[in-house]
Amino acid sequence: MSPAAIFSNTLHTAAIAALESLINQALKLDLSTLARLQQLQGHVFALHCTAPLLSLYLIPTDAEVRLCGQHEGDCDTTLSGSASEFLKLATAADPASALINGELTLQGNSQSLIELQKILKQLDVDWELPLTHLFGDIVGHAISKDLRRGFAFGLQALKGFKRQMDEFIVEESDLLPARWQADKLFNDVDHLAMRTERFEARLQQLQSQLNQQPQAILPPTRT
Amino acid sequence: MSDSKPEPSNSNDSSDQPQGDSTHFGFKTVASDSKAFMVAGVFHSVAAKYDVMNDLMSAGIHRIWKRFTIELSGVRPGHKVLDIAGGTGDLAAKFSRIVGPKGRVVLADINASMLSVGRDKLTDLGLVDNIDYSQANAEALPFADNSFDCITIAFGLRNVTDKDLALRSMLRVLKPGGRLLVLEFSKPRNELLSKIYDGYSFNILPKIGKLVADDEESYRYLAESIRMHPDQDTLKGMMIDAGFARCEYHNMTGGIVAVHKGLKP
Repeated sequence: MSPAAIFSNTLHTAAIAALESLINQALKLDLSTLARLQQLQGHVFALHCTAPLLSLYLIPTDAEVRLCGQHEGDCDTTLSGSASEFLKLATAADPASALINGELTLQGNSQSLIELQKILKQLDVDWELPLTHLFGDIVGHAISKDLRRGFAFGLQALKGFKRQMDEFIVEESDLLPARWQADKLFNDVDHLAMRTERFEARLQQLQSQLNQQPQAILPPTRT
Repeated sequence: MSDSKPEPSNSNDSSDQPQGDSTHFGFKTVASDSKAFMVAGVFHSVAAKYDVMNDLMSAGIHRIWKRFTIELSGVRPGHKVLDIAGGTGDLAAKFSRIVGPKGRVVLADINASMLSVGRDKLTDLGLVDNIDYSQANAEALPFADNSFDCITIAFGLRNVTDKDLALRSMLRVLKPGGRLLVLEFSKPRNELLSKIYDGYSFNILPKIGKLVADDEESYRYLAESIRMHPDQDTLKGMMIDAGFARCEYHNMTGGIVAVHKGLKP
């Protein structure tokens, strides 16, 4: 038996405990998100990841989020799929659309899940509290103000960089088509695929009609 | 005291069960009547440093074992939970938060010193609304029949003189459908791990006890009592004999610890 197998229960539980602690620390620094999570108090979300194989149960309570590796009881919402699909859902701007178009399997209450995703996505950690505890009110406030400013600048710079990179790849280097061109091509391909499928179905229908009435359609044989 | 390390019996007639009027206290054979007093002596001695020693001895892993037990408990808001041999209240603290204001947690321990440390710790954590304390013997629980949704006993059963009697007492106070969870040291399932574990618990553990709690003997008793405790399958058999249904166990950390679960039919 490998060491990983010997300690699998322990490692799994330890990893979940660490993740739970991290989430709850972040929630303590964003009390508005914690308050919004209380709407979902008592809901049990079962997340079954197929690759890598991992199960996680998320239960919001009045003061924190509980994460469990095991849950004995009913689940309100069960979601199954690969880690990449979970990541897509977690980062999606429109979680309902991501659920419909993605490859996750959903059972139970989808509305609660969409609500949870929206709440967690709005998480806005306020670093001022731990910084003031660490450095005092004046220095802590100054650091957190600079951090906020730096973070906002970083986000803006990232957006600008992404836009410029898009323009360079499409307009300057001609490596890729413009987004609207790509979208049009994808739509055309989808349309063609749909028409081909219809054509195939029509052919099969005609073929089956021919098979049912062979004598009536076949030309008379010459003797 | 014998230097040899007797293996626990694999039959249901475990050697740790009282035979006539004698039982085991670590590797010693003592009169059944005196084991409770001797165990009480050990825990009076270690109560003050119990949490620190637990963290040191297990490198903090005891928290993960307890967390796994809570996950298996299926306890929900509004439930009534009994934590036997609850010691310094690690499980009771977590259960108190889970059951909420409509639920109830009873922290029971036969040892007044441990109960006192546990009560102080939980009160300091602000957990006062839904917790009761009871100095109780697991063999004769002072609660009405069918009282609890869940009973846990973490690292306590091996210190009980008559384990069969204790299991039957727990069954009595559980509600039908309620579950018992026994978190206890058990038998490692890997030979190499077993040897390392033996070396650690008989050579290093008492030294840590001496260094931190100035009490080598109590921690030697801990190592001996673990070896004398029934292994996974024997304990499961004892639970079935006591009347529990759907009994199963989960090994943790290679079987150093096991969580046994049984339901009251």
